[in-house]
Amino acid sequence: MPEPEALGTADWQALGTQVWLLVTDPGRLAEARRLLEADLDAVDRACSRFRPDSELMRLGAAAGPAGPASASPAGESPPGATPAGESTAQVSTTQLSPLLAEAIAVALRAARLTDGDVDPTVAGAMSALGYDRDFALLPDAGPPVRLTVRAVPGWRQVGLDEQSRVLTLPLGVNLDLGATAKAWAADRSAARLAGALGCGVLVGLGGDIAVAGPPPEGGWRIRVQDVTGRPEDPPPGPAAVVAIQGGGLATSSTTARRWRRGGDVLHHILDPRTGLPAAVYWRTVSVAAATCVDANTASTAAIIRGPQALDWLSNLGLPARLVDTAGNVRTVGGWPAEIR
Amino acid sequence: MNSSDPRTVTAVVKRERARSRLRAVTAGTGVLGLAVAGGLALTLPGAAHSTASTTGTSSGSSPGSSSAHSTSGKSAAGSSSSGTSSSSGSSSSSSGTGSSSSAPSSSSGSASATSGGS
Repeated sequence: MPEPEALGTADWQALGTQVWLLVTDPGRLAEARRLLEADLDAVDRACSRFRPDSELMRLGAAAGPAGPASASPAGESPPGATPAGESTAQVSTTQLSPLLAEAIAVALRAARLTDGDVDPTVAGAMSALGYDRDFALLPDAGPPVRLTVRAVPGWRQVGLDEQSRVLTLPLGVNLDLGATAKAWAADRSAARLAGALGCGVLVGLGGDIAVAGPPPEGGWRIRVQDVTGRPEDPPPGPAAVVAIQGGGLATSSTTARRWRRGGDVLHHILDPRTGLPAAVYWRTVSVAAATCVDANTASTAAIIRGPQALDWLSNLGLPARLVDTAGNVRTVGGWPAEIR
Repeated sequence: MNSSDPRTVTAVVKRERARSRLRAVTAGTGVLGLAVAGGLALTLPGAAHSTASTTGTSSGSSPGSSSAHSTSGKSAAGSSSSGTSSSSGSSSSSSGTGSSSSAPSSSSGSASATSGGS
């Protein structure tokens, strides 16, 4: 009997988070990494909220602060490019690259499916709370920020014609794709790498994991926990190991990406209805779905929905594991029992 | 109201959150209706999720190292690609056909990766 083949593994930093790449054919690891690095670089250039040369940032600059209209970067508004909402605010129209158009389409779809819980128009609120640069560069503590309850502009203000790739955005509304872009990128790259290399691939971007291609025997073994870390390190808190054969698995947590401003401890999952960090009922939610971006959409919305998330996830039939602030674990949707 | 008083701000925040929660509850039917109606788009694991084994599929094959997760390299079961890689931006129709492979099963083996907040 031949010796079982080990997985090829690599990890590095990109998109402001830890990248994990696993392939079932270690001989293809170098090529897989090269492909993934190129994919993530393209996503970063299109979608980053923190690099001034990204397409998204140029979009924000074009939209400018709220106020009188500035020149539309794309000139005239083309047919079909109308905002989805009812705002009569002055708008800018912009022709997008295919990549950014897809990323924004994914973000708007997440907003639609969660009734606005996962909303890409939180950028202004996020910056107002101090999260205005790559998280690694964000000071742990800083002076107080004024916590103002104010709903974000709302995803219905964003118009995207997917055919022409024209975005219509009210002036002063900026987008933050952080809630969905990494999961979407993981899906996209896992599928692309598996197709190109002909082997099983796992792409993990922070807590967002997508797998594609033939899985290893027994599936991809993934440990869900509060904060993403190295699998050989002990988990920081309640954890469970599950195996998936395909699709995606994502975890959202209020224990990660926290910072202090004055006496307030803030986290990165905002409730669009208040523009403030979501009230913490669940510290960590993990969801499995047919794609990583769907898993991530559901896990993020579950954090925001609090106790209502149990019924919501159950009705959707999504396997999920929810950990409350006291560390109690609830599972729904066929999430497997934990083996001690 | 002295909005500069942090206690006042906290009270306002709490009140608004309570209202938001109430709105969320009263809107619950609509939310679920939308989600269920969009269920074909929101790629659900489908019926297969309820069959997620509690006995695990990988116990006994646990290697000691995170990178020594063994594989035969030829099993294609459940290997559906789930990427939303369309360049047309049509990811809203992401496939739900991979449902049978997306349900997790329990595992006693050591993990090859972790999923947590980041």
